[in-house]
Amino acid sequence: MNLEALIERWRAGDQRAAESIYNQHREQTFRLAYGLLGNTEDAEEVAQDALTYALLHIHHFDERRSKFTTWLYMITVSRSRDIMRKRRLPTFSLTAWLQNRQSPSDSRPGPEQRVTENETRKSVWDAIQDLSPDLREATTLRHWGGLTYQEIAEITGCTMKTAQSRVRLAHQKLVRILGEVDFQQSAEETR
Amino acid sequence: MKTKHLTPDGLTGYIYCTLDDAQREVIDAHLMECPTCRANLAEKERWQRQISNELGSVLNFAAPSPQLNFSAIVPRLQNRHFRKNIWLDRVIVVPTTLALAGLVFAVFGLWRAIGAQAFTSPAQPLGAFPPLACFFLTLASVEQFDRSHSLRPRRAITWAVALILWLGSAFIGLLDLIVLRDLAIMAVIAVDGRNATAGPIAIMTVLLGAMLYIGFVIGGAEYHYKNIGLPGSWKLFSITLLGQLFILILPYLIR
Repeated sequence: MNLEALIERWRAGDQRAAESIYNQHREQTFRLAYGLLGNTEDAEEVAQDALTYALLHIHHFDERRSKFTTWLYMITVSRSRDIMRKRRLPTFSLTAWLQNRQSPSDSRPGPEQRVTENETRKSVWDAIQDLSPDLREATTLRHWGGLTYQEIAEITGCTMKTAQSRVRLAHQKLVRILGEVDFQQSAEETR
Repeated sequence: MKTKHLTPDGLTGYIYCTLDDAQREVIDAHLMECPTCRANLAEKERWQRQISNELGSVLNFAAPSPQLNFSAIVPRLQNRHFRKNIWLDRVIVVPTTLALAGLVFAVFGLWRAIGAQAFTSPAQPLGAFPPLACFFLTLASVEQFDRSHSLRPRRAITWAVALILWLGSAFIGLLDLIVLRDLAIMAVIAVDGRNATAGPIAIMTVLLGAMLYIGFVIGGAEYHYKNIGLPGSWKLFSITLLGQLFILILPYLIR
C-alpha cells in the first residue's frame, strides 16, 4: 500500500497504518539523526520522538506543501537541534568523545587490506562531525539524503541560496580537513 | 599570456550545480581550454564522491536497536484523541500571552503619549509602558526561535504572533520618533544654548525619522510576510525591538 493511502488510513484511526508508516521510516529517520548527532543513543531518542510527533500530528501534515519524508526530516532536524542545545554537545568535544568509542566502522573489523579504507571512512566521518551543525545538516541531507536544495532549505528553515552556500562551504571545509589528514598520513608513511 | 584559472568556489559551485546557466557556460568554455582547471575539477569531484560514499557507508550500515519500535509509542498514539485542552498548550499560551502583553503595553504607551500631547510638545515623559512593551514583545519573538522550523504548517498562532509583533513594533516606532526628536532638541540646546534653532532641527529629525519609519514598517511587513515563521523573521523582530528599546532608554542613559 502506498504512503498516501497509509496516511489517509491513519488519519481515519487505523493503527496498523500507523505501524506501517513507522516501520517504513524508522531506519531512515534514525540514520539522519545519527548523521547529525553522531551517537546512537541520542539518534534513537530523536528518531522515536520525531516519529511519534509525526504520527500524533499527522493532521498537521499538508501533502500539497511537501513530501511526508521532507516533513519528517524537518521534525528530525529540529529535534536534533534541541538535543544538541540541551546537552550542550560542542562539536569539538563530540569528536574527541567519539574517538573514545567504537565508530560504526570499528564495530565491523574487516580484513587487513581494508584498514586504509576504514581509516578513510573514519576520517570523513570525524571531519563531518567537526563541522558546525548548520553545515553538517546541509552535508548530510545532500550527500546521504540526496535531497534537492529546495528540500534542504525547507527542512533546515533557510533560503535555497543559503542551503546551496552551506553545501559548498561544507565541501570546502571537508576537503581542507581531509587534505590535511591525507598529508599527515603520507608524511607518516614516508618516515 | 597568463591564464586566469577558475576559483575553488566556482569549481565547487559547478560540481554541486549551484551556478546559473550563464556561469556554467563560462566555466564550460574555460574547462575546454584549460587542463589545469580540468584537473582541479576532477580532484573536487573525487572528493565529492568520496564524501558521499563514505558518509553513505557509515549511515546506511547504522541500524537502530530493537528498542526503537512501534509498540513503545502505541500508548501515546492511543491517547491522541484525548489531547490536552488547547488553551493549556504551552506552545500557544506562552507566545500569545507575551505578545498580547507587549501589544497592550504598547497601546497604553501610545495612548499616554497622545494624552500628554507628546507628539506636539517636546520633553513629555513617555513612562514605563513603552520599554515594558519592548521587553514583552522581544521575549515573544525570542521564544519562537526554537519553534521556527515548520514542525507544522503555518498555523494561525504563527500569523497571530507575527502580526502582533509587527503592530507592537510599529506603535513603539512612533514613540521612538518622539524620543529622537527630543534628543535632537536636547543636542541643539546643549551645543549652542539657543532654543530658537531647535525647532527646524526637530522638524528635520521628525521628517527624516518618519521616512525611515515608513520604510521600516512597509519593508518589515514585506519581509515578515515572505518569511513568516522562519528563524530570520523572528530574529529580525528581536533585533528591531531591542533597537527600539535602546532608543527609548537612551535619554535616561544620557542624563
